[in-house]
Amino acid sequence: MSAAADGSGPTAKATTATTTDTSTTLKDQQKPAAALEEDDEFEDFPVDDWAPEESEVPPGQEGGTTHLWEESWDDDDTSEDFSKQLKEELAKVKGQK
Amino acid sequence: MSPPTLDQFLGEIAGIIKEKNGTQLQEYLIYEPPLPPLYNKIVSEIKQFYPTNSQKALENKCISFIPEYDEGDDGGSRTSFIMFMVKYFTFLRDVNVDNLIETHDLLKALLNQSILALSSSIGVTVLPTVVSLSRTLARLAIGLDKRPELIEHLIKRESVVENEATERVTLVESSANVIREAFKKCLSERSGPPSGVDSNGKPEGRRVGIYLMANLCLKLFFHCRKLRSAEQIFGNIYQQSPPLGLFPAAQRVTFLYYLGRYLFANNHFYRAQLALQTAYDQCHAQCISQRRLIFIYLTTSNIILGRFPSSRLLQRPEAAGLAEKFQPICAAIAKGDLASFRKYMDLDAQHAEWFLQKRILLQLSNRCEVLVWRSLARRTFTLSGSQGAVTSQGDVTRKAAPTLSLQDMLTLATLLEKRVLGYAEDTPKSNGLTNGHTGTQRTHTNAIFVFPKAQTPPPQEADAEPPYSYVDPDLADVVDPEPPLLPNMEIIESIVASLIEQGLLHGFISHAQHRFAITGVKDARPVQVGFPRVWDVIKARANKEVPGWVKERKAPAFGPGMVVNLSGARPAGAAPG
Repeated sequence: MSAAADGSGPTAKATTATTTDTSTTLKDQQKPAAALEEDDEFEDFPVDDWAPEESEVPPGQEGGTTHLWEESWDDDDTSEDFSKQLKEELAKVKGQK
Repeated sequence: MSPPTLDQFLGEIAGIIKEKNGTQLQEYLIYEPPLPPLYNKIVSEIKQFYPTNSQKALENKCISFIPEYDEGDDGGSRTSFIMFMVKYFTFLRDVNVDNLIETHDLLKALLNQSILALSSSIGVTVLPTVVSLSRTLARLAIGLDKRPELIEHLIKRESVVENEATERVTLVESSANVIREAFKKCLSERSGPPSGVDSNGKPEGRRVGIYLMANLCLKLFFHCRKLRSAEQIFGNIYQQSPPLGLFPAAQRVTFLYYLGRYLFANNHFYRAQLALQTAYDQCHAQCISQRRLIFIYLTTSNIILGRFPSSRLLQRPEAAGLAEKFQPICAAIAKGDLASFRKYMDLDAQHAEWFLQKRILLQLSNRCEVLVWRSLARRTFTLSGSQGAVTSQGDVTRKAAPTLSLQDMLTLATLLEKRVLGYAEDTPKSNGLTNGHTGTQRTHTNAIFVFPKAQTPPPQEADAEPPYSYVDPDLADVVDPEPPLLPNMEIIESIVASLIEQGLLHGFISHAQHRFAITGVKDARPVQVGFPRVWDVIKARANKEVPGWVKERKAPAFGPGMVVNLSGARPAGAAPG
């Protein structure tokens, strides 16, 4: 709630919210839930609008712009432990027959 | 004598109304404590001159400054605005913020009156005030909802109402319902062209408030888990709203976040991903908390759709700590490691509580299991499948299709399921590969349909007591479905058939030979043809339209007030010309 008016008139900033107290006490009371990391609430944005450039992740944090999502993830490595164990099991079961 | 400060204040309000300066009006109508000194003066003047029961006098005072009718307003009435001003002053007079419940009720009534004023001739000017009141009410309602000791008596009252078979409405929901009225008023604005967009490409009139109000309603409906009510908001917007792209970034991102979550909760993961990806892309780079929430649901949707977050993506600040939660799932899917997957998705697993709290555990566990089975089939093929061969006999060239043995897949699935059950892997098997008997294993999704063959009941001795007191004759021969604890060939076959049906395996099952054959290989690698990339398959089948997300200007819908040109109409039943 940013209320501001310059010039004359019976106006001034109303800054403190009625509910601020509520939420702070609440956080104190809910320590166990807080252990579950962040609040689930989608916070209000501090500004209403911004230019598309401001949505771009700053350089150094973006981790590149391509291949952010892996679509080819099939694991063809058959030499690691997991595959070896599976191979052994197949051989064992076949040997029993 | 007249109250000087109140008079001055009303005079200024009248000036603001004349200029139709909505922002300034909202800035003047301060209602949250601590009030500035001049407002405290106003309050004491109201208490002195207009105590309780002097409603009419206060009303007349307001009318003396703000005429009910004004020529400049197209003859429209301002009565509802004047009633709002009266309510505003009585709110200032009566509110006691030490009693939050009462404050909530007073604020709700004030908002209600401001929404009525939205319909007055100066509705657009009132809109910023309505937005401000709605925001405060939403915040207060959520704050109160988190303090059960304060609303205990309300909860009790609600449960009494519930007994009377009336729908139970929580404090949060009742607030949302009031704000929804404001949303409807914004959405039903009729001024300007039917598209709802003015000559500058901006939403016309009260329509500027559509997404502000919708987002507040959605926040509350999600808070009290009333997704059905959220659905109505999306439905109304889809039918009547100007395109989302015309609204400010914060409103777009917030709306797409809730739309994505709603679609996710309804198992529309592809659509959820579309909405959430756009929300993520358009979210301000520095708003880490919002980006993180979007990212969690975007990542979950994408994993379910066969797209994994890259390690680079997981290094971003909003993804802090998420790699350790999501990467093990991706690794288990890629490997086809059913055992690790099941253990990781178990309710007792390390991150289960976090997944549950985010409401993504069941989706991950149910939907990703399909992908694990697909990878297990693929791994069986790479480990023991027949790659197919070309044989020539004279002029006839025969090409045998690449196949995988379902028996081998069963062997591997059994091994992995036993790991989950905690079997020692070399425990001698009683009857090969079928049922063990422990009580903890997860069952196949369709276990209810997987009936073991009905056994002939052993001849009973005449005086043997029936095991149950009463069995309905219709159900006498029904055998309780007791799902196998370890997979058997029927389960493997049904899983493979289901994967084929979903397009995740390409080929057919030879039931007689217990083999899955890959078709259409030609010159490609069999493993690529038989096991197409999950994301490619899902994307090709997906419907890209996202209900609730207005992307383009629609032709105005047919409705009241529309002029319909019938010059090209034919008589009913006439053949097309």
